[in-house]
Amino acid sequence: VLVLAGEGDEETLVAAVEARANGYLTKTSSLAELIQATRAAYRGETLIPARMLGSLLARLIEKRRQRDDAMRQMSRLTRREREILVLLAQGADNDVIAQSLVISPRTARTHIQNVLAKLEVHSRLEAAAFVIRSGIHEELVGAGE
Amino acid sequence: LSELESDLSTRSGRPARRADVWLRQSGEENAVYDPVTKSLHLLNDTALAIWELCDGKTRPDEMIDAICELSGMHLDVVTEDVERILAEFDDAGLLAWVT
Repeated sequence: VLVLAGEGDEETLVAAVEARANGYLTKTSSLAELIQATRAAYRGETLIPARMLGSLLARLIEKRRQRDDAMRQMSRLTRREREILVLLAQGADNDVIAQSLVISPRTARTHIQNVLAKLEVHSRLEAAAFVIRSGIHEELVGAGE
Repeated sequence: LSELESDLSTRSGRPARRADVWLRQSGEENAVYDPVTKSLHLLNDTALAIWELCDGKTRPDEMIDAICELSGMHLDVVTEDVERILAEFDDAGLLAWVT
């Protein structure tokens, strides 16, 4: 897959790399570059504009650090608390969490407070944002199963 | 060079560009200029990317992992390239190491 996007659009470039795109071209690329990129992609090579390589690597490293930090914080949670966090990230309220996990709303509330304290966040919204921002949702779902 | 590579592979620090070294980009050419030795070092695209990552915060193994992820190249090949480029920067006296 080749992605064609705006000049210096790093957000799109990072998203393209994470989606396993083979190459990335800017809209100012020539037809010759497009053909060259298509052939390179066919050969299984990865094509990134040289001028964007350094900043892209820096972004990837930063995302990986955030993910590692998030995983470290996640490791403090019990299995039950991870299940709670998955539901929080999906926007569930106390009653939904209690019903889903077959526990009382009071117990659900206690678990939620523990999750917030261990993640060092102040609200459910912040907890949900933590999961989404750090890109650990899949690991979290897997760990909760 | 092999001694330097061996040294780099066992370093636990993070390489940092010397603050007084300038990066000059002109068209498709990239070079770093060292005002102390008055020497100019031409960089290819990969070397430039690694130079930009020499921020005193990024460890060589983080550089290697990111390049592997980006390029899909084998770890051994990327490790060899990154260590060689860092060794060349180090040999030229362009880096300080942060521990």
